[in-house]
Amino acid sequence: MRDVLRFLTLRFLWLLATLWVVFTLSFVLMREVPGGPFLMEQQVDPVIQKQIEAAYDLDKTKWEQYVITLGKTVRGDLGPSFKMRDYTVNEILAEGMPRSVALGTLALLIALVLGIVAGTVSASRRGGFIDRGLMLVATIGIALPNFVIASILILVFVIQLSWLPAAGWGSLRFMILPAFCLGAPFAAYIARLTRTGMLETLTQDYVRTAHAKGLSPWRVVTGHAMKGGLLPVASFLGPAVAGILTGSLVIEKIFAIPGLGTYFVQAALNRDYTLAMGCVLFYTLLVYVMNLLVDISYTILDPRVRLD
Amino acid sequence: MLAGDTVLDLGDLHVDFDTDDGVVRAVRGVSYSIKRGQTIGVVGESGSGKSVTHLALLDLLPETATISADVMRLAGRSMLNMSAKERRSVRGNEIAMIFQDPMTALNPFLTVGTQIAEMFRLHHGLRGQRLVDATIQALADVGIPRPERRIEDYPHEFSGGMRQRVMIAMMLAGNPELLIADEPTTALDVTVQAQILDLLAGLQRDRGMSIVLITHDLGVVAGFAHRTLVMYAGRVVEEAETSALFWNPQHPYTRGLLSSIPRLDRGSQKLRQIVGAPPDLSALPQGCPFAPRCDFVEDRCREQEPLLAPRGDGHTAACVVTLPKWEGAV
Ligand SMILES: Nc1ncnc2c1ncn2[C@@H]1O[C@H](COP(=O)(O)OP(=O)(O)OP(=O)(O)O)[C@@H](O)[C@H]1O
Ligand SMILES: [Mg+2]
Repeated sequence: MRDVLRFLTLRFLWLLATLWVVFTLSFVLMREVPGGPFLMEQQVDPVIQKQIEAAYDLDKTKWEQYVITLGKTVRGDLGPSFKMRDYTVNEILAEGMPRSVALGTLALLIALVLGIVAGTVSASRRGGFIDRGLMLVATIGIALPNFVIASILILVFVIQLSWLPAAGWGSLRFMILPAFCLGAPFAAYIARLTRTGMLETLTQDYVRTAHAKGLSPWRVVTGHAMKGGLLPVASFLGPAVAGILTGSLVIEKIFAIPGLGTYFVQAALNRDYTLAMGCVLFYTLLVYVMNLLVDISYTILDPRVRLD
Repeated sequence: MLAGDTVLDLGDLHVDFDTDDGVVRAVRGVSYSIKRGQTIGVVGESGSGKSVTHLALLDLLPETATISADVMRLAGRSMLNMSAKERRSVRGNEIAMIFQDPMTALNPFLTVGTQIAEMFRLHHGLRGQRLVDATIQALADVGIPRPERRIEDYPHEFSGGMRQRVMIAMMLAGNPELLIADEPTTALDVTVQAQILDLLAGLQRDRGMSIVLITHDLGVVAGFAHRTLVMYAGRVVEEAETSALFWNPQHPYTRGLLSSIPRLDRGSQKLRQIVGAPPDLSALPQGCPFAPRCDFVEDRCREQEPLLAPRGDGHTAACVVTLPKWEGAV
């Protein structure tokens, strides 16, 4: 118990350090990139321009801006959006986040379920027709970029069959296609990882022992082989979450989903400093927490591994 | 049932493996039987087919193996035309097997309690508190201290000897009539080896089960097995009561094995090893497979492989040469 507390405290301190580094880097980089939030097409009255810049502290030196923004961020205030002026960044995040999280979670779920089932079936039918078919599909799934998968699926399910809506947000029906496109490449990768892991554990002595006990083949696989066979999948979860995050930038755009990914892309293009910063920090937090969960899940899956 | 009933009857068992280098003929006509409460020792060098013979019995070989036999009877029932499901119900329940390396043979991801309890649930339908009690009792029966605490531990938290005790507890949970112990002590320290063999002997007395003890060490068999089979290149080359095998070995290979047992009374004298290596099972030479390594080889040995022939008192050997009288290992 003491170990666990120590581990969590340490990880929390690391998280703070990571967030600070990410904050600083983003702050510097954003302001180094040419262009600014208020360079507009039409000429604006210089007085008004001054007032706007003052409202956003842009008239202060870079150092002053850094300290002020960091101070506010530490208190949880990410400030107003530079572009969507009626909203604070916190409000925009609060609106976009649930959609993106729902989409990402569904995509991850699809990836895990499809990948683990396909990989396990493949491994237990090694070399057979089903195994080869599944692995061929998996290879294609890894090779195709998700926007290509999206185009094909839209053609089939939206235009040809009109089973599903093409874009937008609302009920679960809107989520099916984008979540599938987002999860498909990861499903394919997880299928291959699962197959490799299962093939290795299926030849272990303890699996033979499980057969010798008189267990059914199903019980041998689910009760004895899977835990070891899925360890590689568990360690892939961290990268998978990060990959689904980046993937969602594209997928949200294609399917016109008003999620965090869409806001983030817009913020970057518009030099919306505060909103972009909010998104970056949120993504960092998410990936960090997911990696922490993966480490913890590892100790649950493999009793020989300890937290440290 | 009456004492002296036959528990296992095996006739002309063959196992071939399909490999990239051709067909490996790992077992080539093994026959033997065991009576209730009896212990049989199976000895032979590495690769002689000891494990494959018994894995075939339990239907635990990979798909590349082709198994055939004339007789395979368990307590009078033939196993030859059993369905896969019926074969499965034999495993762990009527025939149990423990393996050489308890480190890899136990599942590292599950507590020993879970692994033992699985057997009581599967073969006796126990649930709840009765299941827990039975699991703790099983660990106590094999001499593991504080069993009520240790059921929560994982295999890596046990020493090698304790792990083999866990394995024994687990495999005996189904109350098998026959226990196949495949080199149960090879991976252990010498002192621990003796303890495990004592444990097995004690459990056998209490439960009246039969044991097949596989080993490549004739010394292990000496004080333990009623009868002993000597295997070479997939065949039984000699079978006898263990004492008869030691006092009057009738096959040159058995004599070679006996001469290579380390003995205290021979002090630092060099052990005699059998020179050469066993033959390639995918390209067996004509004649006796032991001929190239045999001190007593004659021309006719290279023409035809000798069959097991009776030598009186249930003693059989597969050698056509008239051997000199055995003076003991020198
Ligand atoms: N899956 C397999 N594929 C091909 N050949 C195999 C396979 N399993 C065993 N063999 C071969 O069968 C022969 C007998 O092997 P077996 O494991 O029965 O030997 P053993 O007498 O138990 O030896 P050891 O003392 O090393 O355990 C060996 O030559 C081995 O190479
Ligand atoms: Mg063996």
